[in-house]
Amino acid sequence: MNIVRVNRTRTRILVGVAISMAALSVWLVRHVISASYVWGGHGHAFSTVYGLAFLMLMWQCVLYFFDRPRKVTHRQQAQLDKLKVTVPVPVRNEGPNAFRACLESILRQTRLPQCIAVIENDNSVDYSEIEAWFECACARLGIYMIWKKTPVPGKRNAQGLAVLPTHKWTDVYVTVDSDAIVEPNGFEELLKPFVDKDIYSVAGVVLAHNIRGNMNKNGMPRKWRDFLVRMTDLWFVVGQLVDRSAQSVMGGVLVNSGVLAAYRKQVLSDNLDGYLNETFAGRKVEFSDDSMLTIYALQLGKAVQQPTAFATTLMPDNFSQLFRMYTRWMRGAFIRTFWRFRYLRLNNYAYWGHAIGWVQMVLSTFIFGVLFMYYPIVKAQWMWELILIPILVGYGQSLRYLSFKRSDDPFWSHFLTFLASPVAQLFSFFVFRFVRWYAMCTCLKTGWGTRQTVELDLAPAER
Amino acid sequence: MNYTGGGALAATGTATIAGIAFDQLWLIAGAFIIVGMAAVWMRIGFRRNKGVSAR
Repeated sequence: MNIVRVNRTRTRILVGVAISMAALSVWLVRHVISASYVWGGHGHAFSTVYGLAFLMLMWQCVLYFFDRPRKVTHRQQAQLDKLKVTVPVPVRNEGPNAFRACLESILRQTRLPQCIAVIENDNSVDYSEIEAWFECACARLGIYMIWKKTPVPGKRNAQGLAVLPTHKWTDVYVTVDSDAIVEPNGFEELLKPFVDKDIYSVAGVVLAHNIRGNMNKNGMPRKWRDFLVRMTDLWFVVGQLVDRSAQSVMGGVLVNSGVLAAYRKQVLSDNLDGYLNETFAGRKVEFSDDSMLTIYALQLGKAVQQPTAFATTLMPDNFSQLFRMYTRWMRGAFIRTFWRFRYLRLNNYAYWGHAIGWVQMVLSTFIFGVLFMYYPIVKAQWMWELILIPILVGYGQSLRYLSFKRSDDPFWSHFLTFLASPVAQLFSFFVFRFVRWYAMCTCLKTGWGTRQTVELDLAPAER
Repeated sequence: MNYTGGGALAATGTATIAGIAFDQLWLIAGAFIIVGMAAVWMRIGFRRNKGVSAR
């Protein structure tokens, strides 16, 4: 198997912080000068909005600069070792090679779970060989294995089937997707924040596994697919190491990744009825299981991210899959808006962070409409220089992408991906923005929307 | 369009502090009011227990 090793690098993090702070300082001076013009009656009408956006950006930067992995003492580690961990693995039409790689990665953990529950839900792929191998492997390691098949579709239902027989003796559930490949120390790192009794969920950091070697349907290598996966990886990882890291410092992570996350058992067992029967406008909601669990965790206490718990997963290598995935995420995010405003505790940072995020969304939508739609179309005025702002901000935030090393990607390649960040930024600025609006308008389509058959798999040699 | 002044979007011709404040803050105030009203409506305005178990 092509095992990807990922490590945080402290030196690069410090260099990134230094560069970011220098850039922020210069920009702060620029905004102070701009403010003096405004109050002299000569500034741009949006100067204060830009100033507010800058302050929000600076606040976020300060927060994620302080994001540190949780460490434990020997005594605390001994307490963590006593936790009984169950890993539910729902699987539906997953590529057999990717699925087996996922299970192998769980069995390779430095901190093994007590129970692994594989639930095939509405699945049409034959995993009998994998099941036989897995049963032997679990028996050898002394891990209690559950393997069930259900005709009922839905990841949540599958997770529920794993929770019901195990919740009486389980302390922590670690959720993994069936194509996740968890770093050997992934579970060990993921459990560390649970030494704090107030923490109810911990998110891992997820990277794309298939950043090279993607092929078309005829088995021919396609470099543009590799590039698309790299751009998705850049955008996704930076999102985790910027937005989620900032939220984590305040204990208010809003969304975990389903690929790798851990929850105290109460999060699932106390809310199983609501989790399995969530409806929105009378429609059953199937997706966004991870953000739902995070809301439950935030109702009980804090939700954080452990930046040293890594997993890789297969990312879309074509636009069709990418758009479907993003549309599904954004539909889920919009529905979650209602639940977060409704149910999050007012004394939790998550509530206010979420509210401020929506203020930013309203402001940026208005300004985007004026500067990039109204002015070019109605007044034939183009302000391309303003595009430099998201590009420069994107470069600053993408420095976080350089804060870790992966064994299958040399530094020059990793750095080239970083240099291409304007592509990801502009794609997000001009394309994902409209996809998000589309997702909000079609949020009543609450089905899963992907994978009726196997869509992605690892190459056999790679497994 | 000049980024730091001029054009229909610039705060031109406003001499008083109140005028400048209105020119500069109406959009921010509007965004806060929209989000605030939506948040209050979602908090108290529709039926409970359709998604998340009440605590």
